[in-house]
Amino acid sequence: MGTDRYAYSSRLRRMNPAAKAILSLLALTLCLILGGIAPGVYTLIFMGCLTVLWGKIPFRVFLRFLLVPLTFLILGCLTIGIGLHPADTPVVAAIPVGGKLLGFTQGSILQMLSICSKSMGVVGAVYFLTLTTPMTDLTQGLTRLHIPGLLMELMELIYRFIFVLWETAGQIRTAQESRLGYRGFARSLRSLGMLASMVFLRAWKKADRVYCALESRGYTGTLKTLPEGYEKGNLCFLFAALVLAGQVFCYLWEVGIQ
Amino acid sequence: MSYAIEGKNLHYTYSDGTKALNGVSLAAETGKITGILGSNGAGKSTLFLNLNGVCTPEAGEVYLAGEKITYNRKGIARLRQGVGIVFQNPDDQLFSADVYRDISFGPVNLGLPPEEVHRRVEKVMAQLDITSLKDKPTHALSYGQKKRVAIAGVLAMEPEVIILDEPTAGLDPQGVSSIVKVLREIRDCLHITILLSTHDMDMVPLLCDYCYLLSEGKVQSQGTPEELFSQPELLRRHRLRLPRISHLMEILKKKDGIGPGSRVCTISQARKELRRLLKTNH
Amino acid sequence: MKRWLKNAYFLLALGSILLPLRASAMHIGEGFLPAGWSIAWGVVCLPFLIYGLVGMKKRIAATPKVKILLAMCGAFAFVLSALKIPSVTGSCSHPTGVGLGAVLFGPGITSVLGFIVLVFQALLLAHGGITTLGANTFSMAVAGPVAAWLVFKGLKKLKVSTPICVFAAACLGDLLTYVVTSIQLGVVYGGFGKFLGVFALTQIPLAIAEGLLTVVIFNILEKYSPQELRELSVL
Repeated sequence: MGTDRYAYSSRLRRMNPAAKAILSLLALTLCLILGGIAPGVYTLIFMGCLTVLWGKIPFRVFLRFLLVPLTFLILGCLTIGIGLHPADTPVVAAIPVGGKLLGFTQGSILQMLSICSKSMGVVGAVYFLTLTTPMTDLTQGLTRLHIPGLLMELMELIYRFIFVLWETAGQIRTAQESRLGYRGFARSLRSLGMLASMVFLRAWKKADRVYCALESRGYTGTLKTLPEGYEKGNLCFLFAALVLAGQVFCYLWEVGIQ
Repeated sequence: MSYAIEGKNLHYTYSDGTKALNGVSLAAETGKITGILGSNGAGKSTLFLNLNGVCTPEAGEVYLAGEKITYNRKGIARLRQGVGIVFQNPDDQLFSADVYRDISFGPVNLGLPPEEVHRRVEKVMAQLDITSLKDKPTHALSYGQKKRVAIAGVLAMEPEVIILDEPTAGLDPQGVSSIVKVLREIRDCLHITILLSTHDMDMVPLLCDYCYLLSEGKVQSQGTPEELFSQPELLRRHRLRLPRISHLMEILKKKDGIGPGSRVCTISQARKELRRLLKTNH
Repeated sequence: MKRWLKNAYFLLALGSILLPLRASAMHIGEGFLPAGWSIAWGVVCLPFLIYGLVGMKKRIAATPKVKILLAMCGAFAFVLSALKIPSVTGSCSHPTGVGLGAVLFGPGITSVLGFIVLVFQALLLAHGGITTLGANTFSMAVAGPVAAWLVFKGLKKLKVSTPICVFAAACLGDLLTYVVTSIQLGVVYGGFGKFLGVFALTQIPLAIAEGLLTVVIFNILEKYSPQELRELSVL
């Protein structure tokens, strides 16, 4: 599902997730703090190259994932950019409403671009991590951060159960669609309600059986498991230094030309 | 004859009042494969849960390697350590998204040091021929692969007895043969006692050294596969059937007066008998 | 001439907002909030999450099986939010699960499970984000469920019929989520009313649709599995 499917086949899958996470977090933190247009674009391109060239994620896949946050981004940015201005403000594009102008100014467009690039930079940094690291490695890695054990175990279990329930939901949906369950609003709603309830009930019963199986393997309350060893991730730190330096450089350059 | 696990006069009732086990007594001989034959709803799964401490029988006793089990924390831990169950649906058993990690769960719970856990996991993956799957997420596995990983997870705990609930249900023919092969290896090379339930009658003579027929909460009959298949009417009465080969031999004897009848249950036995018959007829 | 062009550009931009985009629930996208706010919202959520976790721990200590049940509920919440609801306006949207969660499990558990679902949505589906986890958790896993729960309990006390309680809880929970998100964006970028207005196009129909859906689900559960519902009140 989602990024996980590709993470399992990435070349960096066996690399120490902590190293990858540090690289990703450093890149996104500085991108977020610096703001501006150039640092964001640089972060996106740099992390994107790492993901595609180093992580061996197909370029088209990466592009497709980049489109996902775009919906909210465009909507949000446009909403921010539009403003009601007094009639004689220099605008780039606007329509007259009442005695004022509703539209974009040069300032608001720059703001929009800045938010956009900042956001996409962060997205790129996060994708580097999520497209090269399976979910289970991430959740296990979080235990090092002293996140409560219960939260970690819940995450591991929920992740596993999501796939099982997803399959059930898919089967029920197919069965319903084969019997014209989704024609029209009211009927769709009712079929969806039945689907959701059935998935819930099956999940409830299944929990019983899963608990049985866990008990049979000596479950005493903790879901401790042992992962296989990881490769060293020293290159990540080199790339971290590169991306941070680049971001600062871009920021200073942009400030310089303003 | 020593018995790895025995149940004596077990009684168990479900929460809705139905009596699942009504005085069941059975014994699995050490180092052999014992089969529990029964139709759906016969009580096989419940019986197994009573044998590993998940369910406590209302009456009756369970013996592990001759020792009677008391249902306190120590006793149940002893049972869980000594008896592993592989459930019918591997999706109920595989809780981790990662194959390697799921197999390590049992050994880690036994309190073993990390090097030993790693050693066992690698060993068991080699034994079940799933080393190539170790990097895969569990949801990407086929049904047969999931079954193997489930068996691996139990085998890694090195129990004295492995119980398998319908191990070949839902597998394609190659899958069935490979599980049969795996179970035979576990018996012959690892000397682990196996107790399994099935209603796949054609597999029974290939796998089981001894069988119990479970129906309506009771043991209706027991014996070697040949002994059990000499009672075709009993099997049919309890919603089972003969293996196809046995059925053929039964008809040959009944309708044509040829051959020794339904106690012949494998292809190689049938071939022997038919060749013998053809020779004597000429 | 120039003026006309400016008008045209603007209307084009406006039109792209009003196009039936694939309307998701109100996750604030990755990197959209400044660092300070991202952290601040996270801190605000902490007491609620801690409260939820402590409650869970207690129940698990009493009944170990509850851990598995809770995980199932979390997975269910994720799957629910991935379904597509037909909206009255014709476009498709995704339920938030805010109302159903609050009514079935209570706000404490819903906050923790909601948080986990948001983490998975951010990492697996790029819905929402890691940097905006705090803000999204507050709006969708804390504020929304708490409001839904209060509405549900309040109306029940007033002896209103259950289907109406459930509908109101789910619908108002969703609406509050969307209002809180608009506030979260408004304090950073100014123009709370702008956001409220723009998102209303998708969020109000979604709230109504999800309200109806939640009633359907609840009715089925009540009719066919009262035992599970009783067990849930133990949860």
